[in-house]
Amino acid sequence: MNEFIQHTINGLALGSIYALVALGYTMVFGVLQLINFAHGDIFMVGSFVGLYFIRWFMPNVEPSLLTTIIVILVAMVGSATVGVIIEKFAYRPLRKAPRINILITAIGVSLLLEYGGQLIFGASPQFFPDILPRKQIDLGGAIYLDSNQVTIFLVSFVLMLVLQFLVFKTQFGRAMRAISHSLETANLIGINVNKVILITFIIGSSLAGAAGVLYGVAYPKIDPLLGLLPGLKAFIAAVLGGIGNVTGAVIGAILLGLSETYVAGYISSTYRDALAFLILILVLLLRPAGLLGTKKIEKV
Amino acid sequence: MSKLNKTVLLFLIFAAVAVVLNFVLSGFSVTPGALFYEKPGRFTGLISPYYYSVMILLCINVILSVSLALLNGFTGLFTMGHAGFMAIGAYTSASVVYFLLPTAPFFIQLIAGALAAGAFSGLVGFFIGTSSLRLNGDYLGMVTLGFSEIIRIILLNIDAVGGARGFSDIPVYMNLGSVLLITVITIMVIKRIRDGRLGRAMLAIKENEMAANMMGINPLNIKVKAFVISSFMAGMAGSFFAHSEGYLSTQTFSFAKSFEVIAMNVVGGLGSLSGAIMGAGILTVLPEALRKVQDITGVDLRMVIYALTMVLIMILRPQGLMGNKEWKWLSSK
Repeated sequence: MNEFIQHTINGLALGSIYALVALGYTMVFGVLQLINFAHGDIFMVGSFVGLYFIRWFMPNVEPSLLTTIIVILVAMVGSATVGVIIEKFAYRPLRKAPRINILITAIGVSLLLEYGGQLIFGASPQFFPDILPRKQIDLGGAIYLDSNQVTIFLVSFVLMLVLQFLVFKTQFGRAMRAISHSLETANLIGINVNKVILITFIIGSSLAGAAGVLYGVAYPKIDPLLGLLPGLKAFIAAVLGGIGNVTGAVIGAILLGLSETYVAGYISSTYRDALAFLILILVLLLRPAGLLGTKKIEKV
Repeated sequence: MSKLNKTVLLFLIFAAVAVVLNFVLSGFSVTPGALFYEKPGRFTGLISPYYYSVMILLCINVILSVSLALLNGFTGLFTMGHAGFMAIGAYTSASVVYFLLPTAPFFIQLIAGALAAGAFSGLVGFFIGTSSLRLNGDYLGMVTLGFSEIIRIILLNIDAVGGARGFSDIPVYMNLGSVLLITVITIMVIKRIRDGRLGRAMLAIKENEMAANMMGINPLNIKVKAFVISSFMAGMAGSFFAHSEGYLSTQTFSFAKSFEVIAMNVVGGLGSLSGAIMGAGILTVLPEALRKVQDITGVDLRMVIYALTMVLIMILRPQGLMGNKEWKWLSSK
């Protein structure tokens, strides 16, 4: 039982990181109907921006929560910048192109970031410095709550609240939801579509950047191909929750994080990665709209 | 001359060319092995071993690319799992030869391996196809990507085929002449499928599935056929890959490989057979040619240029290099 609780805590932490990435996938899909394959690599960029910021500007800093928050903010800005560049130069020229072309461009951008990252940062893994005091809180009965898990919960919770506010309470959020219903109609009623899409990319990318730093804190070994698997898994989480649905993405990500940890803990860690893909296949075959999505009926 | 005779004649001509090519490249040796299936033991200065293996890789990539063109280009099914079929083919063929026929003559090994690879891959393709074809667009792509990754992870966990260490000591027996011959046959088969009843049905489904259904075409039937044929060919390509490299690692068949094959189709032009061949050519030769750039600059720019090419072609020439056109010898007239 204690072991189960420990797995649950670890799974929730992993799920929270997936959730931050999955939100970006789901928001971009909402406005553009595009699977932004490069999103996992934006997450990687966030991790590296954090790493280099620490290395260049605060090499001898005392580990503290404040430091972590500063690094996260910097990484968010860095990732958002990359997101904006990608949107402007790769996706915007293709706004009217067939979907498959945009999808292939996204794959190309993803490869570009990965191998460009290897060129700039080097291909070998680098250690993410300790920016958070390592403490383990004993909850009794051999259950431990790590300080970085607490930070992951805190940061992702705050960011999700901010996002919830942005999407459901602001003018921008309303415009974004309008676009996700119909881009053409939103354009007709005077919404500046390009601007809203750009802001969507900024928000999604900065969430991924924050997730990148949290990932570096929790698993302190990062390399330019780091975004591949977490990126795909976050996408799967978004599909599981119902792609295009903000709440669904969070639920899907938590479920995926939990089930991955259980499989790794009770069955075999080599099948951990297969589980995510199995979930993807099952969801798409049995309930393509996801847990919270609404079914679209094709009209002739 | 009837159409069938013409095809047979064409086949004989190509086979003769292949044999002559093997004869020349093996240093004018006349043993059956040298003429049909053996990799030259020594290279006589006509071609370096490096170019020889690049040419074999090129042929394998052309087979992969044209088989994907059947799905992506002609039937309009966007799949991202070609590496999975290739992996099944490679491991099946390697296992059949390694475990079942270790002492059989090379020629038998080659044919048995390739057929088993194609058949098993086609079978898996049939199951994946029938289960996932009610999805379309990106969703189909994602499901096939998922299947392909699961295949890879299962292979990674089978200890008999090496698991994470990789499958080594596979007999090597691909020679350029025979691979070239099989590549040409594959291209001709796909051309004839495209120009026949099945191919026209595929194109109709790609244009408008609903309308094709109204015209009496059963979309599910045609799509499954496309899936099986395509995965059969990808499996064969995997078999050739296994027996030209002699070593297999599951890392080779990650989704990056699937994307690579998609990129070949896209660079050449989706929906064009010539484009698929051209794209395979460019994306195989380009990274090898760029090795020279790497020697000069000292950094590995190859993959960056490769990715950049993909993005730039999508933005500047979305229809691909060939567009919808075909080379004369591959056009339907």
